[in-house]
Amino acid sequence: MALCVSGMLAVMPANGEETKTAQISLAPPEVTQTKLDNGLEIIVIPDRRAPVVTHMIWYKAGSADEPTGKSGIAHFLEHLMFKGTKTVPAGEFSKKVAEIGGQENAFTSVDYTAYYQKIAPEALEMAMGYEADRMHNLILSDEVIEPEKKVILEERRSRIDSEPRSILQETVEATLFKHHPYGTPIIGWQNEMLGLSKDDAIAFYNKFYSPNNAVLVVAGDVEPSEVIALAQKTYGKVEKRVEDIVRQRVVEPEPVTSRIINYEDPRVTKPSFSRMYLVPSYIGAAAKEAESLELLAAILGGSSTSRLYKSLVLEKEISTSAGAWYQGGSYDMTKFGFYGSPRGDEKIEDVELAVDEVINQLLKDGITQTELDNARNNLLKSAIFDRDSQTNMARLYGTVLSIGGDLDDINLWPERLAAVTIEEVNAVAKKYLRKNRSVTAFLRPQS
Amino acid sequence: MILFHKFKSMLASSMLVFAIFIVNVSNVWAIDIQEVVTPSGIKAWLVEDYTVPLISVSMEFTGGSTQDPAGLEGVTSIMGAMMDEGAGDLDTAALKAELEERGIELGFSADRDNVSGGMKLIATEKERAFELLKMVLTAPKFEAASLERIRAGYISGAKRNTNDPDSILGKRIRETLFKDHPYGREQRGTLNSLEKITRDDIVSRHQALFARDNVYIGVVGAISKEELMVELERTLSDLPQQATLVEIPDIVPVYGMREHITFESPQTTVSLAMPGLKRNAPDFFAAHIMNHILGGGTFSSWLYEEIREKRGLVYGIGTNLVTLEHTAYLGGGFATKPDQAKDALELTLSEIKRMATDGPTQEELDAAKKFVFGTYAISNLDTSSKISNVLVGLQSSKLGIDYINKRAEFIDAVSLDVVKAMARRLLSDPPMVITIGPGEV
Repeated sequence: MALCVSGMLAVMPANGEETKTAQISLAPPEVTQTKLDNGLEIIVIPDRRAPVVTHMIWYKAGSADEPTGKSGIAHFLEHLMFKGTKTVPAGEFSKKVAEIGGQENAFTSVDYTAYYQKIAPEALEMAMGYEADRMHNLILSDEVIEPEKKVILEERRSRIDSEPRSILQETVEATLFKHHPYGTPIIGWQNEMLGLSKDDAIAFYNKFYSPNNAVLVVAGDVEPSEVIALAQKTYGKVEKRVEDIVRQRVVEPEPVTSRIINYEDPRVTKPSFSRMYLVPSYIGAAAKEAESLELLAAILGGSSTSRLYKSLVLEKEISTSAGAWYQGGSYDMTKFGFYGSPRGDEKIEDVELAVDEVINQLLKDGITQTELDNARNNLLKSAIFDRDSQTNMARLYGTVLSIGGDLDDINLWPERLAAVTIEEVNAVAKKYLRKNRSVTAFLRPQS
Repeated sequence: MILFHKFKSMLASSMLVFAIFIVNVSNVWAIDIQEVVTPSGIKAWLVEDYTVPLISVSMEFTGGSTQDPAGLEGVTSIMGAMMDEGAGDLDTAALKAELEERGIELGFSADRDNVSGGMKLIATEKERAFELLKMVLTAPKFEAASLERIRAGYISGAKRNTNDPDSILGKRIRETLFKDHPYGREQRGTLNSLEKITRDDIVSRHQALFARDNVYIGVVGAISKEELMVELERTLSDLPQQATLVEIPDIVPVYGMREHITFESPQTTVSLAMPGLKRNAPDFFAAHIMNHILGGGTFSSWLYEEIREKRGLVYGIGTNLVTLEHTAYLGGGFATKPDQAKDALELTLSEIKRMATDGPTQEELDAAKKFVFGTYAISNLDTSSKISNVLVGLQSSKLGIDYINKRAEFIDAVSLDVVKAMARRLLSDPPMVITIGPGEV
């Protein structure tokens, strides 16, 4: 998960205050939203600049919805969705997409699994037909399961075992989320991946892959009414396979200890520091808390004019990089992070001290109005840049809707951001940036 | 964290470069390119579009890190990274603050053959944005503190590379293919060279490489031809007329050698290289289409099918036609569990051999031609910055403003015999194979 709910829309003056730059207003995109009788939600985002359309289907199920002991099954199923159905042989869909120069891929996160094709508009019906087919007709055989399991094990070796940073990260997340399934890696624990079976994949598929647990997002050179008609013709034929699902995962208990993780690896040449705090997401946060955390991250470490960069990189000159981030787009509690790496022979412990100094300073004195205005403007302006990419737009809507948000979460985001006050940002900092909510991690060369 | 089904950038780590500009513009969609020439002769290509209030400006200055003086490897790369570190009357912090405040993304970076970059901005900021661009291009500060900071980052990177299997492999591939040609050198410098670079070296690189006779410009967005002419004239008028470039010879690599580097890691990475074809070769499309069938970026290439789909030996596998200014080759590779590396390599070599001897079927060729024909708009023309990059690439590759219309004919002309002949020509001799991992492959 790496999406914030930043995105888009009307960029408006911050609280009507004067700023040095001209304010731009950008009409909200004309998004059409509807729902088929079988419960499939549909979003259409027209963008007629190029004869290209992005077709995405999002299932509201990710690795955090896996049964205990079956870690990796959401992602394994995503791979197996390319293995053919009752009516379509394996590889046919991909061949059809490739034949017209289309792009395709699929991805799995903790909260959702999505499949997409980027194609010429004439091919939209074809893609919808195949995608609707594999929503309910998947068949799996042992012949396809075994090689594909080797593929995901190889993927784990590439992504995790070959990257010291990822090895550490996996432990950090498992520690930050000591009870909630966000602590389980999306790819799965290797010992459990080895045991994943055809039946496990089919069970997950039958439990979650159903039109009433999915969102269709189509962005590009299309007419909304035509998209809806095509959706009716294709996805409309798929019957509801499950009753409506209300996600109810275990709740991460309030953290009470600060935790430190050290990892030494012979492949590491330069140490680095990171820390994560447990914080609420846009979906779970009290009013304006998520927006305040978003602004706090920008002020602390979102760019080369942020406090951390200025202090550690430019003034103290002890770091080559330093920053902060907030991952607001998830269904349950989420992460607020810091990072920094030492410059030259500087010590990693000093980097941590300097980060703490910046945090403590902010906790003590709070932020300034100028910082708040700049952070807000930056977030809003980068939202305008997102409008340039239909794929980014489709991903934004898909993410928000599949984690349980609605169009207002996107449409009203600029207003909500504009309404955040200095006091509210200071308040979330005090409430959440407490060490006993955090996991601190040090990656070091082998001593 | 999101896991993708397929490697997003195939071979990203083990390949030398990805400066592959796949110029296969589809003519199903005509984009209206206007040529702009300012009174003093500065040329740019423009696509006017007011749908989104953005402007994207792409620029490419011929002459990249191949121009690094011997012993100062990395100097051009550092120069590129320092372009937005203060300019004119603005120091680093002030320039970054203003760019951020106005929502202007501006920057440059060097690759082997050129320094490229530009800016992306909200149209209402265009006047000041072009002023800032002018300052960056003509009066960069190259402050001492910035140099030390960026140098420190590069040195960390160079140290990391000495212990990173993909970097070790990449270095060995470069040395093997290019020997003492500038392509064989470390683009981001060595521990030795990085220590030596001075501010004067950076300034001298800037003076040599930023001129009016070696720049290609592409602009997309909410700006008219007339406005652009005025802005470009103003922005570039203070640059020297001529760049000072060292001539770089072409190089044809020698392939065929096998080598293993022992390195303790959970996977063995295998890298291959075979002869390729430069972008301006008349029969480029035959090679491009052949590569697509063998190991191109879809879920249906021969290598993907045989090695991933049927046997599950790898997560990512593919081949890539690497086209540089002075050379070209066909690269490929994958990573796998060490005890599977031998099998996966043998299968890969046997698919390459099958391509050289049997070639594809007519059906495979037809499908590949359709892909190559259709992929251009989908891959390259869906955002302003991609289009402005395309405008630059079309110019620097000397493909002509009408290339978009001609492209379909080039693809059409590729017959089964032509592809088979191309496969025989490029793939008949043993490829270079370099592997890195715990044990011999």
